[in-house]
Amino acid sequence: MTVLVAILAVAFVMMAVLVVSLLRSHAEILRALHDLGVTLDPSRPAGPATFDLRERNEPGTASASGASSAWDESRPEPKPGPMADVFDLMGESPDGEAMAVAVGGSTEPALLAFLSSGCGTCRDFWQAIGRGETISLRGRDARVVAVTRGLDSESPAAVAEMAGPSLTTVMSTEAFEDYGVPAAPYFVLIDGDQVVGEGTATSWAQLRDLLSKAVADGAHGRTRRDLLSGRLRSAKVDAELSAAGIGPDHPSLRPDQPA
Amino acid sequence: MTLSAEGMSIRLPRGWDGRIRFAIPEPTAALPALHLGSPVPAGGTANAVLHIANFGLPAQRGDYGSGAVEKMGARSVFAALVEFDPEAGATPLFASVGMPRVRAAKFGPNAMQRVLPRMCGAQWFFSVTDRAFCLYAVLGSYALRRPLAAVLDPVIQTIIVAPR
Repeated sequence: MTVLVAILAVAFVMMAVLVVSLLRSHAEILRALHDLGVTLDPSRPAGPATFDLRERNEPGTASASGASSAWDESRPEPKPGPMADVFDLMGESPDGEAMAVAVGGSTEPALLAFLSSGCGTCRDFWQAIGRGETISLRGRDARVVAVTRGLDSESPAAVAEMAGPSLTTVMSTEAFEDYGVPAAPYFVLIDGDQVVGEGTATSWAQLRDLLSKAVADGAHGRTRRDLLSGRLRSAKVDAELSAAGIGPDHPSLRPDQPA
Repeated sequence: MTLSAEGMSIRLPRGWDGRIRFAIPEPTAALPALHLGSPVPAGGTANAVLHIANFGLPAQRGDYGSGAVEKMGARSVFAALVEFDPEAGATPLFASVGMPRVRAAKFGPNAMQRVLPRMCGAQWFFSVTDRAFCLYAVLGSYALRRPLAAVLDPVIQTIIVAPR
């Protein structure tokens, strides 16, 4: 009898652990979707879409997988990606200060850390930059600026708690859109008037590695954004078609239209 | 880019930082003789403060730029526009009307709130649209005060102050 009770107790505990794990996993998926601007609640409008690096289907058409598009037709079209342009930051600090932060045209490199007060991965980065971690670019330490979404999406108190008093923190949804940030955490390294590296990581060491590779790629004339957007490949294809006498209005490109 | 808040706006050139905040003085203990029981603001009121600089402003700064001026290089400029209580506008100190011109001749090492080597400062008291202000400017080099004042003046002249 005691053995049976013990087995039942163990089975019950294991079931409880399983249920908690499933709930936690579900919550993480929902949070990731929220960070990407996707909402599953039909009564709420979708958040701003900021995936600028991929092709989107026309509203209402089928997706590549054959299923109907998950994008809401009423969802606003995202602005075209910045393609390595540099935008100064305008927004608010968590304690209500109006801020204009210059990141372009400076002799000092700038590392923009696009973070959220709610994401678990961001917490490590808040702590790292809070204790003074930075990225060095050719011997110059980058000025680190934390950027969160604006008051429409973030709680100033939560951001203030994560950022602390000494970190320059700008709350600006516009900055997320300007830089085509897909989700937090995301990092953009700027030198002068150029984005020299960008991407996401799960740890400071990984970020350092990612940005050093991006800087090395940039030295070879290829930025990560060029590669992700297929811009280099598009330019090459356009050049080859042009050399073959095929321009944008060539009939072969529009077989559905009468010649 | 144009920065606006608290009835003030300024057009900032590329590479310049700007902040506008409502200055809330740190509470300080009331004199024991007053028997107030709770802390009172040191200045008694809260007013608008504008900071601009041609370098990265740190997150923590005093109203007159402490915390920022220590980071200035020889070619750096900083300015703080600090608003005073409306009643102050009626006093002789604020009799000058309109935004002042930032001229090199006004700057001196001893005009700084805290004297720092090679740097210089200047301040003006004036009123605009019945609002009383102090403009406090710091240049990173006394030797370069002429070109640095010439950099700062046109930016200061873009400030627009709305009536309260």
